[in-house]
Amino acid sequence: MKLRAITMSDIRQFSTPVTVQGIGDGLNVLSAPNESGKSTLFDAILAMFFTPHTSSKINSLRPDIGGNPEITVEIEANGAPHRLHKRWGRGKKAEVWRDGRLIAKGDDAEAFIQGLTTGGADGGPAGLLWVRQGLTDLEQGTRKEQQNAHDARRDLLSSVTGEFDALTGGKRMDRALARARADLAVLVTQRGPKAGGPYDQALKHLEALDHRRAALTQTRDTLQSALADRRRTRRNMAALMDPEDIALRTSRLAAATERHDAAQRHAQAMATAHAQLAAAQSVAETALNTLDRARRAHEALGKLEQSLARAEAARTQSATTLSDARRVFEAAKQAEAEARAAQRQAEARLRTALHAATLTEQIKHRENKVRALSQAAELAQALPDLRRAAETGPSASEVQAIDTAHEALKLALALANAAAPKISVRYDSAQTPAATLHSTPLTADTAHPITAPSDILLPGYGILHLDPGANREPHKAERAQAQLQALLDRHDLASADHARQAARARQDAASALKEAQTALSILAPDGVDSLRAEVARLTGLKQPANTLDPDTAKTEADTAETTLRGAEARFEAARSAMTSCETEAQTTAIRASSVSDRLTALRADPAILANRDDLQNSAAQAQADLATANAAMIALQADAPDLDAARAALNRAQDVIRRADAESQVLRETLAALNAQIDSQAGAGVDEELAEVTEQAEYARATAAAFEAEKNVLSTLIHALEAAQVQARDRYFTPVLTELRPMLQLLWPGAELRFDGDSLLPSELIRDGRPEPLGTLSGGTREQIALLVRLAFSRLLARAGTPAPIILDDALVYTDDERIERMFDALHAQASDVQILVFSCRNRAVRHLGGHELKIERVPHHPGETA
Amino acid sequence: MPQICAIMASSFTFLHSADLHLGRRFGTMPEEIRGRLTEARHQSLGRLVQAARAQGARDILLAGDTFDTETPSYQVWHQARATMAAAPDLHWWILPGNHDSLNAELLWPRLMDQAPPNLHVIDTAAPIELAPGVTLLPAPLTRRRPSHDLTAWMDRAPSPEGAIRIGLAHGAVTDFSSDGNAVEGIIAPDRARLSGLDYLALGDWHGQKQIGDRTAYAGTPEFDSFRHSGRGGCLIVTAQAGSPPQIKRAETGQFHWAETDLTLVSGQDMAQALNAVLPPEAAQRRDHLLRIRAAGRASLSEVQTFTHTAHSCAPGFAFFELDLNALQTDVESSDLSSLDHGGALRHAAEALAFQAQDEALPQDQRRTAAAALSRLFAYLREDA
Repeated sequence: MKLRAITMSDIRQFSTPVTVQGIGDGLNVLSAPNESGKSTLFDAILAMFFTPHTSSKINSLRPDIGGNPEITVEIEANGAPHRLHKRWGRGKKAEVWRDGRLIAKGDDAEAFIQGLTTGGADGGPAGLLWVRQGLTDLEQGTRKEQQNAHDARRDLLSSVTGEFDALTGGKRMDRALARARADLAVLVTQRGPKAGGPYDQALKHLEALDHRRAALTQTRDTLQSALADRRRTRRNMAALMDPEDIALRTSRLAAATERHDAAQRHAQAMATAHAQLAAAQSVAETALNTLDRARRAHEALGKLEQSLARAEAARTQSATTLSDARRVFEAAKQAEAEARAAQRQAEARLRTALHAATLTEQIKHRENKVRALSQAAELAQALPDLRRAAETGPSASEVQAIDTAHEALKLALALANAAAPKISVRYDSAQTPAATLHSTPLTADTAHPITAPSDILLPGYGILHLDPGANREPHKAERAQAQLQALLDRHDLASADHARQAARARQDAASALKEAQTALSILAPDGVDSLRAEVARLTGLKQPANTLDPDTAKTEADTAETTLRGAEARFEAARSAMTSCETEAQTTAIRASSVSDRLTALRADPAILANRDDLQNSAAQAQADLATANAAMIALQADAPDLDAARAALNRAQDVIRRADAESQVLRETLAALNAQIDSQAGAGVDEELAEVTEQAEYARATAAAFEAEKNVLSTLIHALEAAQVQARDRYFTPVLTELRPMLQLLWPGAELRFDGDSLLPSELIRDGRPEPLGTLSGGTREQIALLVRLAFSRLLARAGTPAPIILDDALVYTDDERIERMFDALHAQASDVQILVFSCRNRAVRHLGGHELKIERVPHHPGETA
Repeated sequence: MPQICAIMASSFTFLHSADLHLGRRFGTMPEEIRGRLTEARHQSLGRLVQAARAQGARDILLAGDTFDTETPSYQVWHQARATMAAAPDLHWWILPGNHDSLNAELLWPRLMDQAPPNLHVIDTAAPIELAPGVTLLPAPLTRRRPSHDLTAWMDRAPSPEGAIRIGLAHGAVTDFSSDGNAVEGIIAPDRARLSGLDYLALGDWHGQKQIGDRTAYAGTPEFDSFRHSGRGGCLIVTAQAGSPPQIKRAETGQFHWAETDLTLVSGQDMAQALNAVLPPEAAQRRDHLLRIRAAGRASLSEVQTFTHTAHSCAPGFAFFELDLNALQTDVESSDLSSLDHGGALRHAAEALAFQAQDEALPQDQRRTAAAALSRLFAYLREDA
């Protein structure tokens, strides 16, 4: 079906007929401002095809002032032009005209019109291809509209590919999948066996059984071990309590005891013999020692007597030596005393000479000081005058000021003179009496300045009074003069020269003063009074009468000193020698005394006093006794039993019995403990339970394996079903994807769309291999995708032989300028096969769209006129 | 010794049983049946008493493994003792076996210490006069695995002239199967002949088995696994000096054990095939333990039918197990078409069927795929 013209009246703002004519194949563009009726036109087309003429729900179409909406649409269907006409409200009707003939009216006309959209009452492709303003997304509008669109898509795809449900398995597939998933969900989750589920319970049961089995095995092993221990303990106990063994142990103990006692007795006898032998040895040794000692004592006595003689001789000799040393010492001592006296005398003379020299120096010093005092007194006396003179007269700065004033005066005078009138006289002859100015004859031909009122005496004439008038220059000179005079008057000076002289005199006086002060400071650094006091202290010094030359005195003193040192040295040597001799004498005396004492003591030693024959006899007897005791000892040793061995044997025998007793005690205790342990476990049937648990574990393991197998079966089934479903869906959407792909490339090269099997709408845009859910895309992108999908569906319809126009009322509101160009390209590309009507208020944007331009125009005649 | 000859028995009837395994707990069995099986073992004592009395036997010889372990719980042996003591007209002769050898020092000393007068624990390999002219020659096991034939002493065992000599032992005989391979055993198969026994009563093999004309395994009075089908029993033996004994079996078992191989073919009525191997009386199935090993080939729907039928029958049994590992499932076009004509379900089923037949895949993966396909089939059938 293709639209060719639309006329409407009593539709909203159009109470008079308006029409859009010349709708051509391909792309048609109606560009008009807002509220110009584009959407009204859209709704009118919808009403024509989807609102029965008998419907009362047409208030949205009626104008405000009321009326009966009426629409005529000229179409081309099956190659023939048709005119469809409907009127609602009063005089409602529906008509279909072809070739000027009414071919259907009323319900027949409605049926015919519905058939044109291939969708029946459910709207057909309108939900797919006729986009209302503001509803550019694929899934918008009322629920009914969405459902209609869904059904339209389904019908379209099914007509091309086949029934969706038939392909994908439909509800049966869904139920089978749901069932398999539910059955699987009972067993496992994504993380593994579902907690609390049968598989999880089977695994936990198996684990519990394994734990129980391990515990029972341990208990069984413990019990078996205890039983084995008990058997062993009983065997050991039996062996231990064997009467034969007991008798054997007892007899061995008795024998060992007998042997040990005998050995002990023999050992005691041997000990006694040993003691006797030791005693004999001791006696013999003592006798021999005594004899030997006596011999040695006599020998020592002889030696001591010899030593004493030598010591006495030494003592005598040392006494003699000491006496000589004392004599020498006395002589040296005398000599030293004499030398000391001489040295003292020389020292005294030297002191005297030095004292005299010092006194002479002091007297000379005193004379110098007296002279200095005299000079200092004179200076001190002259100082005040000098000081006064140094302060009299102008200072250098004053002199300079005077000079300056003088110079200023001179300058002022010069200037005054230069400015002052001048008078000169020429005398007629040399005899002419000279005129005088201020009593000063005026020289002929010499200009004399008149700086002040002056009288010139002209002899013979009178007085010539000259007044130079008020002239600054003379005043300046007067001021300068006054200034100079003032300066001069300070010091009562007559003139500048006088001032200079006075200044020089002052300066001279200052110099003299300074010299005097310097000289005075040299003469009397601490002042004249101090100098005078010093002179007074030095008064009374007298020149010594007879003085020895200090140098001679020094020489004599040195000589005496040297002599004294020699005498002292000799004295020390003599004393040292004497001390040595005294020490030696003491030593020899002590030694002689010691030897004498020892000799005395030795003579009193019993060894000396004893009879040597008696001693020899005693020693011989002791030797004989020793031999006897030794022989007895040897005899005992020859048949001595091994006491250690006997003792060891006895210990061992006792040990065996002790151990047997201890072991039997331990065994009894062990047996009691084992009996208690075994009795506590004996009746529990641990082996039975272990066998049972082992079998249960085997069963549980098989059960768990069965669940695992069941899981695998369900997973395999789900995987196969899902894969088949996906393949079927892909197959189902292939036609629309084929149509869509070239258009997608215009906007996004390499992009793909993925469709959702339930909504039959795109769910993801895949760009650069990355899937992006539609909901995350921008409004503009979604708008563009929606339009391209519609275009793809329209192409499907066209290929299916049921073409339908696309009507877009402001369908690209969010698309930017760059993409809109590509969308226009897409529209143009599709327009070769499909009729597209684009309504837009964006005049500037669609200016470049191309296509047929449509206009809403008023018509003078009412549509629906019967031909 | 005429007096002695005068009192020699001409025949002697006794009950021969073994392998009661009192106290066994059947851990591999589901909880619901475990207690019943354990209890049945204890109840076998009473049934032995009944059988002995019914056949006029005064003596009950238990040839080993009376108890399942060397450390039975107090309840087990106390209650066994009490049951035995409650039949004072009968004498119980208990031979320690490999499961309850003389090593069981927690059992035998106490049992012997507390044994009633009619309970005799045989702890020595020495002749016992069961009755005048009847000598019992026992070979009790001293440990779990004896290293030699403990019955060898019977060769030289004395007995009164003309007395009936009855041997009592536990263990496997050396058996030469028809293919010439030896089954390991300890007891000489001709011990009866070698030792001049009129009968050798053996225990260890849980099924009844006769070896020669004078030697037999009584089997267990209550079966305990699928290894032996049917119900347990005991042997009533009438021995005579110098002649082969008369041996007859008396059934004593409560539970009926059966393991059945069932080969199916496609096109067969699966339900009928299954019902054919089931006990006909539904009420009796309560004491039946049945394991069916299905083999052969069947289509998907046939397998579903078979499985469904089996599952519907299962609750009537004490224990029911269906093993389908050997049953091959043929996936036919009609099966797939019944799932789906050409859509995703069909494709999924075809993919699973392909996997199930793909010999390049490991066996378990193929089996999983086949099971997944069967599951899909089941879901869709239930959904239909």
